[in-house]
Amino acid sequence: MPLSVSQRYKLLRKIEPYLFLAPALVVIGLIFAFPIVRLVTLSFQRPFQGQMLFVGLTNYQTIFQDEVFLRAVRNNLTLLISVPIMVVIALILAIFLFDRIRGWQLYRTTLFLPYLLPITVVGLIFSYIFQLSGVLNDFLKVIGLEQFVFDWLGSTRLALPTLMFVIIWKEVGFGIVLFLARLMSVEEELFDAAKIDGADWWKLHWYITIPQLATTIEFFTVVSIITILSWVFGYVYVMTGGGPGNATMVTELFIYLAGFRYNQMNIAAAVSVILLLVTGIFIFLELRLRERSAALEEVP
Amino acid sequence: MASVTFDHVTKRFGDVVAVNDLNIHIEDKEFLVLVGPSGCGKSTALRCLAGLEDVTSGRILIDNQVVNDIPPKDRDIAMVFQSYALYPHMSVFDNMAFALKLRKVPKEEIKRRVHQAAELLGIQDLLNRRPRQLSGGQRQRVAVGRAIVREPKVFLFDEPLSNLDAKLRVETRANISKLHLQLQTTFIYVTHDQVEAMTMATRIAVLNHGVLQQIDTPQNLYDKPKNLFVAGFIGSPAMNFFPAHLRRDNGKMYVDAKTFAVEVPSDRHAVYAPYIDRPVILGIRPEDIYNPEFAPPGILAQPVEAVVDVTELMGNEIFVYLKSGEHNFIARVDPRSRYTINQRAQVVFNMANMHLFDPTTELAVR
Repeated sequence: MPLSVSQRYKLLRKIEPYLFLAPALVVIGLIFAFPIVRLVTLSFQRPFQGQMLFVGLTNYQTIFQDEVFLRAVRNNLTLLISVPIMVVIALILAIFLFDRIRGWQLYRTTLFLPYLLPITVVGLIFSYIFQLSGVLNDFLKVIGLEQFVFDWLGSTRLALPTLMFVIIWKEVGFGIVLFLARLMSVEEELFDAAKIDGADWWKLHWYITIPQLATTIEFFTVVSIITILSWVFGYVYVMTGGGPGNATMVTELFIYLAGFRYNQMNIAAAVSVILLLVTGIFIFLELRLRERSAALEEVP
Repeated sequence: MASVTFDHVTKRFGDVVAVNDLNIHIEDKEFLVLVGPSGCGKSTALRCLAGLEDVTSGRILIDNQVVNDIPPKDRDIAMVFQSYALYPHMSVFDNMAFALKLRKVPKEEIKRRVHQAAELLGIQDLLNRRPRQLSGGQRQRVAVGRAIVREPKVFLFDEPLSNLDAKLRVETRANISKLHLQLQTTFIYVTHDQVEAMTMATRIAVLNHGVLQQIDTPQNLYDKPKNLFVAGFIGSPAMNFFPAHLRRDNGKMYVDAKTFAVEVPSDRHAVYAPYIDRPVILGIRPEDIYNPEFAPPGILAQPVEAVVDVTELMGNEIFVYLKSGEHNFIARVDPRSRYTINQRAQVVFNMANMHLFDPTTELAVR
């Protein structure tokens, strides 16, 4: 039975939004959905005589018995120590800048600059600084602190902390700018009221500033966790290559090496799936936090 | 409870002089209102007193003690802000208790004082709520409550009614006056609204461009404005001004505004004599202009011819916008008056309440 004019119109109205969305969905499908599906499939397969065989969780079993992989996971977890450090440093610097110390505009730019530099550039520069015959050690020798001359990136004990320092140096600028932006939007009379109510510098920031920053601190924390888990490849690749030994091996580098150096694409895929899941949990958490803070800020 | 003194206080922001050589002495238990148009420096003066701004020069004294270098927290003042500035992450109770907690007042005492203040303001039921769950009027009361629990020496109010609707504003105005009586403490109140100033103040300080224009009781400010600015600022609708000449004729004195001339009461002749044959500005309040039919007996009525431009019926009175040559002026007349637009009408000025100003100095001639 042919559709009446009004029925056709209704049908068109119904499918119209999907028609508009279709091109975007196709692009997203090709760029995101397809690779993810392919990745998950690969992680359950192994090549055998030129064919891909389904092997279930074998790849996952393999990686969890792999010393290097476990080391990489441990290193990623160790690097997470930098998250609270970054939060605290960003908080302190943001508050100082907010208090308008002399020349704060200059400091603000200076502190944000590292965040804008490419990781490779930062990595290379710090490699030169931290080399055994690098700038830092030369400087230490000049000022007579020879006992502090170390092979910063070449020692298994110091390589990871040094790497962490560079990551903090670069990433903390983002936190400062986030916190500062939030503080600038806090009603100024709130601080005035607290000062009159009897708050000194410490109490003002403890009772007013930090609570006002709570949602921003949560946001920066989660984003930093995600960064540390899945965005440190550049630093490691440029500065240490995962060494010495596997002292600075991280999961991302492990994926890269497995996939492109040792041609074990299925192992790389399995690790990627795990990393994706862990990161996904934090992204989900972040979205929930954002929903909650949006609800909190809603004024009836 | 304390007196407050501004002693030659000047505050500059770069090249801008926000407060210029301000001298005010506020007695203990007084309700002083600082009033003026926006940007006149009234809020800055209050913030200097609170310690939120440093003064550029001069001294501020609370209870005869110079507080220039004392931080806000040690000045023993409480302030109610225009935005209320309630701490959004604290409950109403915690908002009110915050200052006491910082001062390490015992918990029981805090509880007692917060509940007492809440009862006084009728906000007992709101103590567990967050500020965002409150209406504008409730927030305003919490802000006042936060100030009360402190039992400070001086209360400061910075336009606390501006964010309320008209009805609530009138109600809250009365409540703040009542509060002043109950607390018997010095109140210093900043507003741009001359009605608030007139209704609440024991004395009003009128500021313009950072300069104190006049400080006096509301009645004196209304009856004897010192200059053109105060005359125009206090009273609503504002006083009418007529550029004119003063002349003497047959022993009588007239203010001649070209299109009309009105006779000056004889008791003012001596004071106004130096202005004979010189330009002056005549000031007459709209309420001193009458429809001759309803003019009360005994006023010094002087007739003026004018054309009706617009009429606004207010119920209990009519605002008539009149034109006489190049003079535009407003009369507040009896509601029984019948004026139609473009009609030639006669009104009478009550010259007993006339004001005369020097056009160059803008000062009242007295």
